[in-house]
Amino acid sequence: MFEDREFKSDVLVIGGGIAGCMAAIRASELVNDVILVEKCNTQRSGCATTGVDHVWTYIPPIHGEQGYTLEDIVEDHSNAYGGFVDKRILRIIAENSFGRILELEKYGIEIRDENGDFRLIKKIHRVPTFLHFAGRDLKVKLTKEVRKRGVKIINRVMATELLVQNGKVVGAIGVGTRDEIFYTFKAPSVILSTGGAYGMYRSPTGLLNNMAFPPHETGDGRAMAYRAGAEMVGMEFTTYQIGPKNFQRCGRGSYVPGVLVNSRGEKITGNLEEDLGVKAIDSSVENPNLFFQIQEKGSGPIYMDCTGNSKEEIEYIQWALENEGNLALLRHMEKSGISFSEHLIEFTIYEPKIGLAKAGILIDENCRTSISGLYAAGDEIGNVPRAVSPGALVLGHRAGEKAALFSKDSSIGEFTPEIENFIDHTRSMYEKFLSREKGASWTEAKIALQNIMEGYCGRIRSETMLEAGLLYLRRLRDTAVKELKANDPHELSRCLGVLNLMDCGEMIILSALTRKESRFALEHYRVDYPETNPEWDCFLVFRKEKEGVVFEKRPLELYRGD
Amino acid sequence: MPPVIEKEICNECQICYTICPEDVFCVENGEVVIGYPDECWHCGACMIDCPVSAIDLYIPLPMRLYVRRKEEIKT
Repeated sequence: MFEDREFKSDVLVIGGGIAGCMAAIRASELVNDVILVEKCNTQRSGCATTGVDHVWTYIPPIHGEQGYTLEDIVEDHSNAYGGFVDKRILRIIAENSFGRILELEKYGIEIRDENGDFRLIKKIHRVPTFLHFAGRDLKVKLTKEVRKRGVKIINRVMATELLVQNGKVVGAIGVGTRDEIFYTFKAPSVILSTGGAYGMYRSPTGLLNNMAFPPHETGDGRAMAYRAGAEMVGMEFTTYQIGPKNFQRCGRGSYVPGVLVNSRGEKITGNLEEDLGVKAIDSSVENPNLFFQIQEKGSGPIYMDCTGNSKEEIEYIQWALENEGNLALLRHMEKSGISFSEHLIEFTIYEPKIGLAKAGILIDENCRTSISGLYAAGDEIGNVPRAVSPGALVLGHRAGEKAALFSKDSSIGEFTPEIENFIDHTRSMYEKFLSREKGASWTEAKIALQNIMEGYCGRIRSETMLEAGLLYLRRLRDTAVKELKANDPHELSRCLGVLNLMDCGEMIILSALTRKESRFALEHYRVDYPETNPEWDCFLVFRKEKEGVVFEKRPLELYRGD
Repeated sequence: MPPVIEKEICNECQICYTICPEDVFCVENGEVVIGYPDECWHCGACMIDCPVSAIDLYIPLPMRLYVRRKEEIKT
């Protein structure tokens, strides 16, 4: 049986990654009571768990000097993602990211090299805008700053549902991941910053948690927002990540200046260092089509080749990888006698994912969702792809500010009977998971979900397969709710994470069914509509209503702000 | 069993249990044990934060890198 705990605050932040920590820091400067609820421990959680080594940014004294304007970076970024970018928000990120980075420096994070210079790398923008820094312990240091400001951090609690009454958010509920505790949070504003949705598709290695991105990011924010009726966008676009085969890890950008080669040792991408005289790898490797084509042409496998690099360059790669959360990979290499100077490391393309991309919660320039009092930031949002760390820093901070200002002018009274009923109903569902004598495990449920997503909504999509997949997925979810069994609070949080992933899966299938065209190579390929159709040059926005899910085409022009 | 704790070196501070993002550690009778070995993400947070370097990660066979020496590539 659950023990009950209730908390009241001015602002509730759900998810303590970079965005959540920044939100809590900023909100605490404007209101007294800020609660940050985190499923893991904010010191090591989210995409930056064991580090992030880069942040793209616009540095006026450097980039301005090169004749590169703020509008140029907005243009380059937008072009890199096919124009499916909310430029109004992108502009805000570009304008403010350098300021936020200087704050990180004040928090004790080493941003510059030993000469006091910025390490700038050229990637998807015309000039070097990717700042490499020593970010291994970023989360530990951010957590210190959050605590210093009197924010109440509640670790090991998974927020599970938003509470919305009369179209306005009034709090959230959640469960302890280590203790049988049911939490009720009351707050006039809530910020969602729970990261991506990883694990809907199977890791090709057959290991459940061997994935490039954190297995603990189970699309909780997206699923909660969806169930609460918030507007979502772009969930049809599932993206791919490349990295070392078997030891699945992100951080491809850290292997600079290594090159990708085919089985004959030939470079498979353009080399920007040769073409443009800057240290960078070609961003075209992010095109999954290119990666599959090479294997299908019979010239795979593909390797990361750093054997031609100097000792200093290899030391730099190792430094970058360690700061990008790849220390365990480096340790494995060392113990196995693998070295960058002697060995080519096979690279591959990983399973599809929702995160860092065009798929998530729709927000406006003030980080507001379509539900009053509900804000979102970081990897949660869908209208600015690859906002990544600068997005988390800037929008996290901004969401904290806007939510705090909103809370100053609003108050909440007692919960309505509908909300109380909803809480009771949800609480008893969780208790059933914990008290069942026998039942299905969360791992079974996750594998069953992966089977549906891969089989019916994978690389090749069609109306008939998507419709079948949707039917099976909804049945699976109903069965899971009736049969899931959790032996302890840890397993309960896992069960609820899988249910969230199922809701993310439903959003993907519904969106993929609605977008009757193909776009962005394998991100959305409909075999029954194989061409890209200009009529679909729009965001596909949707929200859950009583009668069902309502879709709407929104012209990209609405989001340009020019 | 991915994280391996060298019991001789471990000072029982429980930092690994406190910070693990995947919650694979448990405390039983005051001792840290690996409660959910299959859920390890191999992120290395425990390894980094252990103040006495008592933790190492076991890398399961399917996770081990495929590599080739330069001379093993037919150009």
